[in-house]
Amino acid sequence: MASVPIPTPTPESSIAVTVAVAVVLALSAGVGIYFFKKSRSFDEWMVGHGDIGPVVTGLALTATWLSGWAIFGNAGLAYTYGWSGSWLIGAMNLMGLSLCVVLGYRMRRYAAIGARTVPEVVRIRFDSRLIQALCGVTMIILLIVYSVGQYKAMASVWKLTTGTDWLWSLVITAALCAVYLALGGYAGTQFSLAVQGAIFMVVGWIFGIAAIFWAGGPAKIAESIAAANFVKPGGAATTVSLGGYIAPIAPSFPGYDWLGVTAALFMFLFMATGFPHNIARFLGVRKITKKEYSILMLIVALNCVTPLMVGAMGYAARAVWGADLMNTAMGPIYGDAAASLASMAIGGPVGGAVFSMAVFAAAISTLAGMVMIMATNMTRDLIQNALPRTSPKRLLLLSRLLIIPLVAIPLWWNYTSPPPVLSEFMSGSAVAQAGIFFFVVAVSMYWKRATKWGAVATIVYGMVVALLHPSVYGKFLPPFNNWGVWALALMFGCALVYVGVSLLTKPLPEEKLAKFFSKGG
Amino acid sequence: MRMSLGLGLALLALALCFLSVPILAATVGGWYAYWGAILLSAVWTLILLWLKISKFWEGE
Repeated sequence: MASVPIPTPTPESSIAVTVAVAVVLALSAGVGIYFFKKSRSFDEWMVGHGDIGPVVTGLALTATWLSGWAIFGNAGLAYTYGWSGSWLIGAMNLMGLSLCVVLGYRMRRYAAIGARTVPEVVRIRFDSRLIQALCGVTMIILLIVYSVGQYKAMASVWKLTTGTDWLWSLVITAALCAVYLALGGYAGTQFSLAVQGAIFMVVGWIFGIAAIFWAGGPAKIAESIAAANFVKPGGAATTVSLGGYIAPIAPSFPGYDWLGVTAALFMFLFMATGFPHNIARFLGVRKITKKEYSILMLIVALNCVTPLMVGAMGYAARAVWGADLMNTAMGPIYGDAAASLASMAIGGPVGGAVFSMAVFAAAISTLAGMVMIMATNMTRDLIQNALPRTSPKRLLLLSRLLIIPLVAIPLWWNYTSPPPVLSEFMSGSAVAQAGIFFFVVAVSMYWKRATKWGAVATIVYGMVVALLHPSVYGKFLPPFNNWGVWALALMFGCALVYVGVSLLTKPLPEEKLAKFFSKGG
Repeated sequence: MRMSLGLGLALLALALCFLSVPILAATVGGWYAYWGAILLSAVWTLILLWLKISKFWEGE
């Protein structure tokens, strides 16, 4: 198998990728334009008409959930870290997303009484404009960090398959993303997301299965991984085996010890619901039957296998090429190149193009969901919150204009200072979103005794501890240099603060809570 | 609120599914642990779906 050469970009692959990416972006923009006429008011732009069905909601939910991390970074995790990379691949990501489906459906109840954004759900729940504004600001900060990773995924794919500089591809992609968001709003985004979710589910499954056979079958791959050692980006070999589900590479690596593994498991359990761009998918869903609800769950289950398929591509690439992708010549992408290169090796220029289409679909769909959240955070949760008399027409215009800087800021960040390891970088923001919003948003919809001050304290605690990430200030403050300690301290600390402060402070009067908790609480 | 036997067993099964993921990784490893995690997740999802539909349905 060592004779299989690592593919290099060719004029054919450049053309094929350009066409494939143009198709997926044009399709997305077309859907946005179609919905332009249907979203004339600010409210309609934000949540559509509340008539979106289970199939579109299910696909859109998986599209915002599965980002460049899952469809691109997962192969890099598998390739670089062996079996220990599977914890960030999200081997049990379905547990988290199915929990999101169960808990998130209650968003409809708040949408029915006027909530148009996730922070507005929190404002209504706690009858507090302060918490709405605080949630809005926190979401903007964490989502900007998270969206940087989407650009890294798109830029890397473009560079690998076309051989050209990635800046222009990012600029064009960002511009198209901004256009279809500005035109279509929530409904347009929701339908575009559904299309994108369907694309990467089909492509991910096909390439995952094909890659296993391409590398000689599951047994041969497992044999290669068992015999492999960790190689640092740049090519320095180590004696750390990749054959086990933990690998003592560095304390900042989640697969370093079982503490890190435990933290990664809880991160995946909480973050699907904690991601505001995920749970917001339920703001526009119509009332559905039990059968339709089951269909929604089935779609979610099928697409949650996709990240594992992409991970399998990374294992296959490691079996075929050994640690060759970790050499200096492959920088700065290194192991993250595994899936794109495997797709080119398996399917030639067309294979590479189809896979690139899936990566763009995944990255841009998550980006779109996040930009939409950030734009409405600014207009609805901050500006309208502070200046309630601002006209809806002006707010709609402002929301559309705000999309431009919100698309450009992470683009610029990624261009000037790209994160070295995509998925590890994104997991920092993911843990904070998981710890803070799982409780502040989701648990608050079910726990009557939660209070505004419990939620405020949770946000403050979560944001402070987020700064102690092992790659930020944690490296100076042991034991926070250990990823597992940091992540568990953040998530379970948020839980303790939320419950503790809520129990010490006064909840809303019973008559105000009654409309949110008609069935228990 | 008194917890019914069905609900209690379902919660126990959910906890077992979650705990089995790292246990499978530590003991069996390889592809079995990798694909086993998604199988356990599928069981978890079925239990959650059953709980939502049969016990906590929000028909409004």
